[in-house]
Amino acid sequence: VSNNLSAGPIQTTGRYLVLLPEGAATTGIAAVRSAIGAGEIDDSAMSNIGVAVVTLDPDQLQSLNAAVAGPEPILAAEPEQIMYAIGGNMISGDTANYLQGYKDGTSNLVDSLTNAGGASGQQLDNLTFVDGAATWGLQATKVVGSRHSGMGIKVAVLDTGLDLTHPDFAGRAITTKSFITGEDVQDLQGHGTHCIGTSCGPLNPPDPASPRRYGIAYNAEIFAGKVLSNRGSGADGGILAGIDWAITNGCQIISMSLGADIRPGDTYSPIYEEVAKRALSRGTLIIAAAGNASGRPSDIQPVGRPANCPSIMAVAALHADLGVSFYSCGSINPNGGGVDLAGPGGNAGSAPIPQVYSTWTTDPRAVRPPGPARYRAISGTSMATPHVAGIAALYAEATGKTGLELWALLMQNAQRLPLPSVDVGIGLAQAPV
Amino acid sequence: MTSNAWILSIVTISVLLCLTTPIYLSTDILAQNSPDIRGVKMSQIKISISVDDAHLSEIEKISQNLRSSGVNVEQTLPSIGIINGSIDPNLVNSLYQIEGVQQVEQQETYQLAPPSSDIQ
Repeated sequence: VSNNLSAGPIQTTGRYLVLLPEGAATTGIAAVRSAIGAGEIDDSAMSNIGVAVVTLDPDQLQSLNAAVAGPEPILAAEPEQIMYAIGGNMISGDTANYLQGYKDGTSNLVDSLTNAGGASGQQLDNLTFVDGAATWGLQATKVVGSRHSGMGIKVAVLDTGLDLTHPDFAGRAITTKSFITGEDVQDLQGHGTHCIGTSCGPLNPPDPASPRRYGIAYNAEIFAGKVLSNRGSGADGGILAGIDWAITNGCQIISMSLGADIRPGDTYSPIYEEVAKRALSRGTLIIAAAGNASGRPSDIQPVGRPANCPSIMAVAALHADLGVSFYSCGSINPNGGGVDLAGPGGNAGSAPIPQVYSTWTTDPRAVRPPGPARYRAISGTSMATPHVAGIAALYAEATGKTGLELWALLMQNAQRLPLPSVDVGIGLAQAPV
Repeated sequence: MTSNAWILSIVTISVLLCLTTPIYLSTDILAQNSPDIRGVKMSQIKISISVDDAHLSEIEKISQNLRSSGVNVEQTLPSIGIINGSIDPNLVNSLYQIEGVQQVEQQETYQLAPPSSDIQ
């Protein structure tokens, strides 16, 4: 027995496969009978896939070929081939080499198509992004080259609200709701305004002194849900109510730059998991921050609650040379407690320098850090998360996909990195062209 | 190192210490940090309850049954099948006797780093 199957002649059974028109198998089989006269017809597969298997002598084959060429309801006829299962002793030597070569070639083709000719993992080692006309994060995720803007897509950001007087959001479609008793949605903290700036900020920021683009889905409809107070605190009750509000309003994407640290060995919340599954089934993808509890390289802490749910997309942070940010949580816990994807998060206090630049609250009542009020550069998985949410809005617009299909698009198109998946998941989110 | 760099390092280390300290639920923390739970008796805990798939359409009825079982129902969320409320912690296990109740969880609290922090 030769191992070199691929080089051998095609082995046939002597029988023929006859393809019949979809939905007209009965008239097709009658046409086959009239073409070949008396002959053995196995039509057991016919009702399901419209294929009959027939045994033919040379004269009958000639008649059948004539029928295929003519107006008869018979689409095609071809010799039945002998197939072998792949595996075991059948594949070795040259065949195995051939299959490996085929696999490598296909992988290279897929990589080159999905990266649109971008840098390979090896080259990325020496690549550091810097802020320019657009932030480094928008360059690294290829948002800058994307044709899409999130038009027609609703993005909910559940956070400290939004500075509704901020000039960069003037004229935008914004729906708001506060889930914090005694506080309206106006952001007196800053965190929510920063996250909404990244996910949904404008194409051309109106401040001439600071024209850098930092926002992704600049035509998306903004849903600002305040689930964290002006002191930065909140509880599950408000967050769950915010998710319910976003789903009821038909938001395709919910961005949650919030989380509570958990311990190694802890499992995820069954309540959040059920809610996230129900959200996906209704076309809403929940994206959440993995958490900032690590002190890499020595201390890697688990993905926090609720990002650790299997049905919530957990986002890790990368710095500007596409290494893991030192604070970013990792896949420590089983049962879905893993990082799914990474986004630009910065590396505050460590090289490389660039943090994530976006809008900050201009409200004079806010307790602001020193410096210019309108924008701020900070780091964290809170900043990586709205990058992924904004990119999700671009895919939702480009493809019309939602829920699990939208999740799959983000994963399929991510830039693979030469880094452990426990740190960065499948890689860096990439915008559609 | 310049003095600015020293200050940055100290700030960074302080932030890390804050971030790596897990926040565990206590009613004291809730009372201090969550304005939306004012009025809850200190003997009660905040809970979220999920309704199973088969009873999603009956969530209002389940809310009523929870009230009868001692839950102070605050919100009924039909899109995700969740009911938020508060209850005496000793009564939590009895809620699983109610038809349609899938899971009862004590609510967790969340706290962002202060606005001055470089890591958020």
